[in-house]
Amino acid sequence: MTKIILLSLVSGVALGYLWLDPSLLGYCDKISTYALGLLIMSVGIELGRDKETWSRLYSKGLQVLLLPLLVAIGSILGALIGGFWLDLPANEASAVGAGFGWYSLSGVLLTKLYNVELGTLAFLTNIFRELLAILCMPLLAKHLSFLTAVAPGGATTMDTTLPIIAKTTDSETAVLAFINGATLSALVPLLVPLLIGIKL
Amino acid sequence: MWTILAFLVVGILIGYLQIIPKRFERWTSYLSIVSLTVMLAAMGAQIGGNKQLFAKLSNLGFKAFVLAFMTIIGSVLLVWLGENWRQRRKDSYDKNNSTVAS
Repeated sequence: MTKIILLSLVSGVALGYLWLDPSLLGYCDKISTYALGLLIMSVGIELGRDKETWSRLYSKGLQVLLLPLLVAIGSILGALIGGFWLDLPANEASAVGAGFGWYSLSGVLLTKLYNVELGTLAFLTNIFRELLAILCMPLLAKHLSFLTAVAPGGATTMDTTLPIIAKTTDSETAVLAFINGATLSALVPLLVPLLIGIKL
Repeated sequence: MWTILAFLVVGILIGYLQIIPKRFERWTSYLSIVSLTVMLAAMGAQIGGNKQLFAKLSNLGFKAFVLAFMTIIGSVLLVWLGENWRQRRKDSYDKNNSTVAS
C-alpha cells in the first residue's frame, strides 16, 4: 500500500514539474476531483454493506467526538511547540496548526485575516500535513493502532485520506475517521480566526 | 465538498441496498486502487506543476515542514495516550466487576 501511494505521488510530482504544460493544470484538478469521487463512492459501498458497524457506533453516542477533540488539541499543542522552536509567536503557530490539514481554507483565512506570508505558511504546512499523513497512515495502522492512524489526517479524514484509512484499517475506524474529519472541518473556520486573534 | 458528500451517500446506498451482484463485489476494491493511484498522481502533478509554490518552498518550506511534522506528532501522541487511558480504565473496571461477581 505504502509503495503504491509513494510511487503514484512521486511520479505525479515529477510529471508536473518536468513535463506538464501549465494549461493542463486545470485538468489535473478535475481529474483528481473525479478520481476522489469514485474513491469515496467505493469507500461508501464498502461501508454501506457493513451494517453491524453502524449500529455499534450509534450505541457509542457522543463518545465518537473524543477522537476529533484529541486530534485538535494534539495538533495545536504540537504546532505551539514547533513554533516555539522556530521563534513564531504563539497565536501564529497555533492558528497554522488549527488548519488541521485543510490547506485551502486555512491558507485563505490567514491571508485575509493576517498577512500573505502567514497564509502561505499555513497553506504549505497543511499541504505537508496531508502528504505526510498519506505516507504515515499505513505505517501507524500496521505498527501502532487503527485510531492513531486516523490522527495525522486531521480534517482530511473525511475526503482525501479516507480511502487510505479504509484500505489499511477496518470499517469501524473508517466511519470514525469520517466523523473525525467532518468535526475537524467544522472547527477550522472557527478556531483559526479565534487563535490568530489571541495576543499574549 | 458537496460533490464528495453526494458520492459518499450514493456509495453507501449502493452498498446498503446491495445493488451490486455478489460476483462483482471484488471490483469495488479494484476501482478504489485504480482511482487512488490516479488521484495521487494528479494531486502530485498539481504540486509539481505549481512553479510559484516550488519557489516559495526554499523560504517557508522548512518552517512548514517542522510545523506539519509537529502537528502530526502531537495528534498521534494524544490519541495514543487517550486510547491507552481508556484501555486501562476498561481493564480495571472489568477486574473490579469480576471480583464483585465472584
